Amino acid sequence: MSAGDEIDPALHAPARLQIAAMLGKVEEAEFATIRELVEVSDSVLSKHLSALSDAGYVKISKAARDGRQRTWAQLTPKGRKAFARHMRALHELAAAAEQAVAAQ
Amino acid sequence: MDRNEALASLDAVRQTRGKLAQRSQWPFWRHALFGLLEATFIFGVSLPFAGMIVCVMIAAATMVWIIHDDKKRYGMFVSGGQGNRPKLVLFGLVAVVGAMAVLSYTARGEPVPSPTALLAALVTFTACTLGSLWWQKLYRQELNEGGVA
Repeated sequence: MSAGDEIDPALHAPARLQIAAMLGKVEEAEFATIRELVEVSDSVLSKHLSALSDAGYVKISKAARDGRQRTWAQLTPKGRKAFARHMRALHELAAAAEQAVAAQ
Repeated sequence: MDRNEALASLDAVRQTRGKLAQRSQWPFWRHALFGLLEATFIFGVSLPFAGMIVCVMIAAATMVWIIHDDKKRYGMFVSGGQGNRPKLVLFGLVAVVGAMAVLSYTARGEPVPSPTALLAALVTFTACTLGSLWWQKLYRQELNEGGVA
């Protein structure tokens, strides 16, 4: 694990990690699309998006379409870096534990 | 966090990206429209200034429409810059479009439509349409492999 590659508390919750994993591979996604992929309720998704937004990892914007306000989310550069660090830490943790089991 | 939690988190990421891969399939017309807008731009390079501006504006408006339609139809927008291997396809397309722009430019001053400019536009259309389809294949492959952070 390189310096700075630590488990990020803001990405620790599985749903938040899934949101970041999805947003990391698109430019922008609508609330309903994220909800379908992450399979959580509206209220749970709202809560997680707010937490990610507060951490500066996600930028949330509103846009009117078909007479309704739609919420869009995109991963910020800070969020992309944090997600990459978190993923490296997860890989390292899994590999280190495997090595420890093999050594026993 | 212990090993099991770490493995469960990695698996959740893989599953989410797998679902995104299933969703990331655009119809043929969407790829062909991208090829057509690039071809319009390339053909425009061979035209006198006013014609060139019209072609550039048509290409730009089509690009804006594609982004808007993607967002409306699929609830997301994915640019060509995503992924590692897909990005190589993008670089290849930029090189082809650049080369065809130079070829089309050499046809300036010829009677419109110049066969050289038409050829450059046809090559651009074919390369961009097929390149877009190839890009989609690699993007979905990369998502399904799930190895990219």
